[in-house]
Amino acid sequence: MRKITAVIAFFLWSLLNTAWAAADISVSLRLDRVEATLVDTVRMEIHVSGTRSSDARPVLHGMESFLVTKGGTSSRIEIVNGKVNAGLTYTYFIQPQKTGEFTLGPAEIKADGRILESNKVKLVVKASSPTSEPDRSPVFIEASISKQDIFVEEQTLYILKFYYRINVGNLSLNMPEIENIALKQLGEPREYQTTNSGAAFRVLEIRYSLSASVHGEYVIGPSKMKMIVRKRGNQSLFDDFFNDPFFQSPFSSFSSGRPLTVASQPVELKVLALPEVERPSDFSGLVGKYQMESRLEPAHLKTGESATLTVKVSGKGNVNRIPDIDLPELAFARTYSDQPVLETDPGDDGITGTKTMKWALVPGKAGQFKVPPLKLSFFNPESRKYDELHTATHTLSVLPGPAQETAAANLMPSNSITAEKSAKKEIQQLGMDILPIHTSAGDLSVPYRMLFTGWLYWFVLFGPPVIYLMLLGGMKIRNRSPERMVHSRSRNAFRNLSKRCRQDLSGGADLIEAFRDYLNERFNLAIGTLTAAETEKILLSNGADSDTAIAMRSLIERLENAVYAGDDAQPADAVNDLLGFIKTLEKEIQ
Amino acid sequence: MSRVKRLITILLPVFLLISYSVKAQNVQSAQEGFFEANRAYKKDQFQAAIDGYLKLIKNGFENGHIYFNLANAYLRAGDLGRAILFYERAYLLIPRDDDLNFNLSHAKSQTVDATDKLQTFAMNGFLGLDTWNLYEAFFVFSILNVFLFFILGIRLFNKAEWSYYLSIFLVIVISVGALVLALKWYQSASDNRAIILADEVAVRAGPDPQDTVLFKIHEGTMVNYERSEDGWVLLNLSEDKRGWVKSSQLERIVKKDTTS
Repeated sequence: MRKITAVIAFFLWSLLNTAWAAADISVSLRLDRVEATLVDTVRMEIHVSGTRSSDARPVLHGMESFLVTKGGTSSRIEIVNGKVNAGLTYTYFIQPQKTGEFTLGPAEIKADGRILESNKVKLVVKASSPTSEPDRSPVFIEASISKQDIFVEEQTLYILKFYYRINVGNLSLNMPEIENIALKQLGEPREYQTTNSGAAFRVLEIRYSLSASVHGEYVIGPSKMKMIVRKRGNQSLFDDFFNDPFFQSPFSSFSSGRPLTVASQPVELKVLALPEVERPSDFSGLVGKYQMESRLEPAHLKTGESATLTVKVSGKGNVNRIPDIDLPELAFARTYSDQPVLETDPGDDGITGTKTMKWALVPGKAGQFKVPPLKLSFFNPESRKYDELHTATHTLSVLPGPAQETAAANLMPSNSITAEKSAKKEIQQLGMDILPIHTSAGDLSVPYRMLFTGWLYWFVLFGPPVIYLMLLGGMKIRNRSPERMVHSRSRNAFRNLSKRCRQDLSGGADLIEAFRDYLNERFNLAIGTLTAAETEKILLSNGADSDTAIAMRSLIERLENAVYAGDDAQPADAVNDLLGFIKTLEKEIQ
Repeated sequence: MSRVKRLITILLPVFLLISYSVKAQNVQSAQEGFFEANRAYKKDQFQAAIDGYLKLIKNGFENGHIYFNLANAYLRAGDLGRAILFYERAYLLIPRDDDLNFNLSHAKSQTVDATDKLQTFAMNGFLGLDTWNLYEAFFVFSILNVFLFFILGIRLFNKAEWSYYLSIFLVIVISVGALVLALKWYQSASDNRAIILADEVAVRAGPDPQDTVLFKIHEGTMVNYERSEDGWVLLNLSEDKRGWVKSSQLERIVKKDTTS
């Protein structure tokens, strides 16, 4: 359901967009060939893009020498990448009434309340082929060249016309390959009907742009067309189906029959060298007919802002040889060139193209400045001489920018300093050489190398751990002496007692037990139950002062009384007293 | 016994004095040789300069600056192959010297053959291995080593908290230092690069002048030295460019005595 809604919404959006597309309507006129005979019928189409309807049928101009028959109208709508393109095509068939060169059009059409004009096209009408010519075979190919004497790099047309009046398919064309000759196909092949030697033929016309890179006389060899000639007869029920235009296309591969190859006649070509006389020094090999235009936008700006100089070179010929024009260095501005863009169009009469070059100009000082004209040389085959094109001289009006105004107010030196600073150049490498030798006496020293020599290497690597291990071993041995062991035992006993006292001892009995363990550990005893009298005796026998021994006895008695009186709590300050007495005791014993 | 003691007491200072004076004399003589070679270089007597620098190296004054000067002299004398060889040897000792890097780059730009850079050791960029020389790596490791055991020694007598954390930090740092030193040592030991010294060398399919010439390489090109056999060396530039050349036509950057 959602999908259907989306499709409908998209369709409606497309229709709405059609109205928008109508805002950009254009009309073009096109013929299916550029040459015809008096017996030919030429198809003419008028394409109106940007709308699917017009207010009236087109009005055709320049049709006085032709018999015009309407061929119908078709409209189209395309959606490409979300963009809607609507179009309308009027088709006419025109039959020439006399020979000559005619300009057809423009076609006028009224759409969206406006009158629009199409382009004009040329048509050359020749007399029909005389019937006295010998009968041609039902399939043949003709090659022609529009100009037989050309200059190097000049463009001429090589036209192949494939005539056929039988059912053919699987067409393939082999073009001749000639050194120094370049052939480039112009557009898609055209198909139309004509008469030749009094017989009606379908014609497939292919046009090529031909140019030569080296002067001399050439023979363009035959172009060969291979095909399959389809059988006639044995018609079946399916014939109607296979008579569909799709299957009758000469390029369709749904066919069987006899293979056939036809070849065009060779064509002679004379290529002249470009004249050496008056050849401009900047000539790049450009041959043809060209125009050059330029513009500078904006022409008024402030320092630090940017103006764009655009130069367009357009014309017909070897457009790929249009050179990238160099803009000379401008004293008043920094210049930044854009990548040139070349657009080519392989039209019916040859390759045309336009090269667009752009530069950004950023002026560094205020004033009126002129951008010098740019020059382009080319060889014009029609006039047979070199021509030069020049752009106009543009004037750039520059006002002081904010920074420069401040500078002027502060009476700073002239603006030329700013311009000099802004026109920085890329540093160029002028030469290559090595840097000189090292000559300081210190350069003779061998740093760190002494660490790698002999005993020092081993000492630095293994000395510290060996010394450390020796110290560690010495300390271990020292700790094993009787004095150190007694000292160690005393320290451990006191540490353990302090630790137990810091814990939450529940009563006097626990404190007596902790003290008993201290005495056992300190004096290496094995007392099971400790009494106050025993305490005094042990302390005195181990060298304690009598006052301390008595004090300790009193403390133990106090604790015992508390235990036997049923008071399970510790007497006040018993822990502190005990630790204080033991510290005194340790000093006395030592 | 007392006579022996007396003899030692007299002879030891004399021996130390003599050895010190000999050493001082050597240094003075080396300095004179160094300045002499430098003067020859400046007078464009490059062969004399080369001889002077080579004599210093032979006498044990082998450092990056002498190699650099020697390479400069070879380059000025038109011997590109030996110039690059000694620049590369200098690079092993003074890799951060800007003059050296400039001149080495300049010399390499003059070689004929376009070859890919030989990758001798996959971890060249690890911890800036390329910018250290082996002696510097060992020196830093030695300092850390002494410092760590000094702190551990202090802890034997005073187990302060700061010494505990400092020793942990030093153990981590010295582990990294040991890794760098080991990699640097491995890099140096596995360095098989060699420089072509002859103007043009035909690389053959086997160690025989009659063997097929596979390709040719030119002076200054860096190659990988694989092994030697009867005065011939098997080298390679890449997997598909291997062959034999005469051992006199190239020299290894890291001098090794192995002949396998």
